[in-house]
Amino acid sequence: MTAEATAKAPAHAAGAGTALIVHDLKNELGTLEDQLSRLAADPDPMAAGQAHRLCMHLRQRLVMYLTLYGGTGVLRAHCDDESPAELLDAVARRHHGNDGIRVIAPADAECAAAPAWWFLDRRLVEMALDAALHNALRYARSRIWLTLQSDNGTLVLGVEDDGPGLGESLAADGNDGTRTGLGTSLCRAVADAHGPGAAVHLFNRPTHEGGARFELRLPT
Amino acid sequence: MAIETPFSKLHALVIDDAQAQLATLRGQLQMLGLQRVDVASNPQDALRALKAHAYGLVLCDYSLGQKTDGQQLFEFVREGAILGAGCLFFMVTAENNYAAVAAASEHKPDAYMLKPVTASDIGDRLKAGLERLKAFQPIHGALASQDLGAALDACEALIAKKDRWFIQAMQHKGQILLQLGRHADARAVYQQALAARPQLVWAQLGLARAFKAGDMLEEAKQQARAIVESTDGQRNLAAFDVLADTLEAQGDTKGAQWALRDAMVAVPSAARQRRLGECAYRNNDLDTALDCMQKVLKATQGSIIAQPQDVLALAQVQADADRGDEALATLDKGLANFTNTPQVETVAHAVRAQALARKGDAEGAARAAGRARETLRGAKADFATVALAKAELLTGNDDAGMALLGTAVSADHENVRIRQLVGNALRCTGHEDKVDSIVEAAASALKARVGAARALLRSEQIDESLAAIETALADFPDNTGVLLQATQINCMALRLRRTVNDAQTERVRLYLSRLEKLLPGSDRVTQMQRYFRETLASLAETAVA
Repeated sequence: MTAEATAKAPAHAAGAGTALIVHDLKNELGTLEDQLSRLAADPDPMAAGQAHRLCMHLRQRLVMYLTLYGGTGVLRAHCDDESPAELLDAVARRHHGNDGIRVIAPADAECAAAPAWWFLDRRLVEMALDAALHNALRYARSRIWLTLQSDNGTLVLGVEDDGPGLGESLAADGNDGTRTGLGTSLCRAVADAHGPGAAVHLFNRPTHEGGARFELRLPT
Repeated sequence: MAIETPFSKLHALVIDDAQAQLATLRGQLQMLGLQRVDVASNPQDALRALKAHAYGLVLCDYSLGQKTDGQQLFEFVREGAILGAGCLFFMVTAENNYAAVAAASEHKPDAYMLKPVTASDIGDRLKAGLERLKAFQPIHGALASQDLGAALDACEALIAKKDRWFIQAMQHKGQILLQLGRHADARAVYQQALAARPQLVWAQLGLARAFKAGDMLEEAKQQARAIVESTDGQRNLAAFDVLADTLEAQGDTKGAQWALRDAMVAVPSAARQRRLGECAYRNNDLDTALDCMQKVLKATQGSIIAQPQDVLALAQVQADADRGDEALATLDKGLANFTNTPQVETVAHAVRAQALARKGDAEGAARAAGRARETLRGAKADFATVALAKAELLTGNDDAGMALLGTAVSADHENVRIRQLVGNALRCTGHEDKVDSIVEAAASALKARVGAARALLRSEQIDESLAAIETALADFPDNTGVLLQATQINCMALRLRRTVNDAQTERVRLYLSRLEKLLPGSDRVTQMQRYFRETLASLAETAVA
């Protein structure tokens, strides 16, 4: 096995799929422009916060796009020993206050039971979690939980929401709630870059009333 | 009023050549609560600022639009100890060069941050970085006061916690064990780390170093080669260096040159060109040496890593290659940019003399050689002495030239590199037949003196043995072979007499610190330091008993 596993970017790298993504980004940029022009005429902290979040989201999506399609076609993970708890905490803080939905990082006890360090590419994993979290934000009613556990030598990072769960919304929108599936493609590529055994899953929360759960599983 | 945050007291420096970006980064740091943020828009200003202040954070753009990039600046200040262990260094890079930069460098900054950087990104990294500094403070503190034993204890304590810093503490432990000369223990640490994760490049590299330190050269070679042949290690410069050093220690100087050439191809930086050029020059491969040194000069001109030695080296190779005019032009043009030390002036005169002699200007050559002779501060095993010797040989002063070369060898008779240089000096001045007599005679004379001192010790004539080795050292104070022997004989004398002798232990400390300067990173010096520590420990035990 090579030292760091690699994963090929999706085959439609230069095809119609990417044009759709750029199209989407263009539309979102238009929305941002509109929000900013209204803000210029009528300054309002709430609306400014909304514009800022849209801007952050757009930037994240552009970075995802470039990560997937902007390089040599091979996504490589540069793994270092990282603290999963600290990583989730950073992701939660970044999305704090988003549209009135609480993003809850794992509790201390949950962190203490999980591995203190794990070899992963922090930048890529954060990007995947940002994508999953953004998706959850679309459906959550009031809360999103970031979870952390280890399962037979695999680190499991989870994003759960208290929304309606997977079902018709998924069928209507495509696999990750966006038209283009940029977030899903990115999450898969990030998992693949972390070697055989790494995976992403999206399913309904089994033990709760409603809600969906995203999982990124990273093996040793 | 400024808001107090955990970062308020941190003094930061932002380095970026783009004014807009500089202002943005500075503003972001101020948003995070940092009250003192300095800025520098080029490497020269950055260096001045870093020398003048003890910063807690440096935020540096990788691309500085100059000859020196952010990584070179970082390595320069880290290696030169201008940047303390307590300062966080974050490198801001564009997407496309992050991976390449990260893979090639042994010194990694505390974080690589990809553009565009936001205040919250910086805040996250800062929080994590400060927590790491806090966790490693006991180790850094012990290392700063050069107490390796305490540093090792601090590592063990951190490892025992099995917390988030476990892996990095293992890495520190391996390095400290290598510094302590405990290469077998270091090997075990690296093997333990590799058992947990076979692809850890730092552990693979540590293992190669531990093999080399333990004189297991074949294993060291294989291990280093495996790294540079792997996907993750193919640009790992430190591994190439271990490979080259190991090959050189095995006597395969051509192989060492190939390894350095591969490293230069992987990362064609000025520093790599310089290393390859020096090695090629020692191997008498003048074409390669010429090519490399020209590139070094071109690449470093006007940069903070420019040094007059590069000008001298190129001029010397040009003179050796019988390109007198080019050598003179290199000296005239190249040295004008520096404030030169007397040492540099001496070499410049000596090389000028060689170049003029090769051009047939006997009078000019004699004049330049005379000035070099007047300014040389004692013959040593160095570039200046060999350069003057060549000037003497080319201007007809054969006896003076031979004497200088003999002294150069005697001054460090076990130094293979100086022997190579002296041999080449004789060859390129038409005295190939004298290589053996000059080099071997000088080396064997010193060997005999060292041997005699050791024989006296074996026959328990301790004072006589000490006197003999100290006299040899007085004659050649920078002779590393004699210094090592003097250290060892003094330690053995201390052990034999079983009494603490402050003057003697102080002398040994002095020898060891001189050795550390003359042979930085040498395994033999590390072993001798270990022997000295063990000697002191055994004396302490005797005293207690």
